[in-house]
Amino acid sequence: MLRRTLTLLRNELTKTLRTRFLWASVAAVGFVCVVMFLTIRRDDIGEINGWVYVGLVMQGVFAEVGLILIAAFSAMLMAEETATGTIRTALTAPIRRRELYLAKAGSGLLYMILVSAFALLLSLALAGLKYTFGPISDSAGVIYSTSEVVRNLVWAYALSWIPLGTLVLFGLCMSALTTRSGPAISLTVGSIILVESLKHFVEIGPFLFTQYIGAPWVVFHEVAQGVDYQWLPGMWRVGAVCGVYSVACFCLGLWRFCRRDMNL
Amino acid sequence: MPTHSPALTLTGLTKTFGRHRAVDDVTLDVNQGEMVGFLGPNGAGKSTTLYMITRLVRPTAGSIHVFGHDVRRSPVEALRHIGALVETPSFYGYLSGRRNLELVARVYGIRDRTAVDEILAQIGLTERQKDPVQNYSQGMKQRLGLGAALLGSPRLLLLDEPTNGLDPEAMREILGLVRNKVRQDGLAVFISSHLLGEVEEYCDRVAIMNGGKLACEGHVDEILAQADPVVRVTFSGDRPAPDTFRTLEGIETVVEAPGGALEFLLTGQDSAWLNRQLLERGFPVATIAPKQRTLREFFLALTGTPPDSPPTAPHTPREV
Repeated sequence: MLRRTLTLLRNELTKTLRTRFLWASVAAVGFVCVVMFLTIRRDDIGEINGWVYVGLVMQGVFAEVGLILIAAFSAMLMAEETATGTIRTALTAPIRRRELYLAKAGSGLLYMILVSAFALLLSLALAGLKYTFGPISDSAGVIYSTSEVVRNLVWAYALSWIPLGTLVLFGLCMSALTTRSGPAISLTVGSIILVESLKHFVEIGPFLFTQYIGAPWVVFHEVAQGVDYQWLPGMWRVGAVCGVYSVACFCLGLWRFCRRDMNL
Repeated sequence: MPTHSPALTLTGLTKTFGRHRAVDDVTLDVNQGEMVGFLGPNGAGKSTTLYMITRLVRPTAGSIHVFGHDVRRSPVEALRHIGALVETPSFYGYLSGRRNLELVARVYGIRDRTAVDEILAQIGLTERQKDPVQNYSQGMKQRLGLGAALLGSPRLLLLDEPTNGLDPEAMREILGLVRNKVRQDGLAVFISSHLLGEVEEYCDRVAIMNGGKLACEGHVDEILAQADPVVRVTFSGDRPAPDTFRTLEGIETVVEAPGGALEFLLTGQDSAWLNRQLLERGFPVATIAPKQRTLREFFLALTGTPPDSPPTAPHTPREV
């Protein structure tokens, strides 16, 4: 099963690397990084160093454009192939449906990692042009050493995969519930926007996984500003909420995909 | 020569969509080294049956075995033996024809690049292998679909309207290729088509679906020999109007034929009886001779519908 899933994942990567969507995503994320680089001013947020800029860019990218791109990509994973009929060609091969579903999930996760890695590397590169990287210090001396900041940067980046991964599985689930990419994207992005609006009226914010998409970068931003920070217990909450959503979305999408008649 | 060990066994296969019974209790075998034509008017349940064999649609009841492997319980083992071209083949338009075949080859564990080269040569796409599939004609996509179906060296080939979009020459070339594989490699082929002439020419057996049920199944010659006779009559004088015989018991249909002739489809009667009836009514018979029915005529008599006509059922829930 693992060998077949990896083969299917390899096929998914071959296809993804040749789609315009991937490169359009990279361009969109790059554009946001550059715009933020050009517009963030010292007056707006106080003292800026390279770390602060990176923390702000990562929050900015994944609060808006990154979130929508990842949601749209995941929503297309199944629905587009169902609409064009290529899923039927894939499923007549000697594979199990769950293997294809796993490969699709893997493809979505790798896309998310690639886009977020590009945003991080570009923001680091741009920050290097204008700001300094080094220990965080104030008039009393060093607060956080460079190695501690780097360690926290890696933590923030790795932990940001948890809510973004949940977003991928949510999009994939919506994709498995629909048969065309348009409705799948509308359903995924629309439900996120709707719930985000609702949370201002109903106290549901803490129970939404989208609430936590920028959470690790908020903590990193505190590190970069030299204030007290705390990963726990906040990240436990991120893990728990995202874990519940991930399992529910994965199981629902897989169940629907495995039971669906592919005759449309 | 057929070895008669079943490549495909359908037992009581049934599929319902809501209240509509698309496939109703179909039992059928396809043997190795045999090409079986699967016929029926649109909406008869042919594609749904092929979809169930390839596990794209879940049967409501019944079982499917491919070389002894139950498709439901051991789908991977069963599908390993199947090459399928179901309906219009779909490929990734932004990838080349070759790349699309390479994706299929990977899934079948084929590492040898020459396997893809051979298939491209067989389906006549070597020259255009690097072009994106979105630039292919319908016929080229059909060829590519056949190539993908043949890539895993299947022992059972399922083809759903494989000659759609092909010109007559290409059609004969493709069917000839498939026929050769049946003869040389003992491939079993289950082919759905509305081109009855080609089915009659290339297939060993036919199975005809009508209204979701298997209406008839057997060797083409045997089926046609058992069918009620058609008698061709020419007249020395004016040809009478076909409607003249509408009420006469023993005559099912009368159709006009070239050369001023009429063709009578008889039920339970023979040409001598028809001759007597015509002479008694004063029609000057010049020649009267039984005629071997074509598969198309038999199909029309059985289903009442031409094979390529649109579906007649007004409330068919889903056309598969």
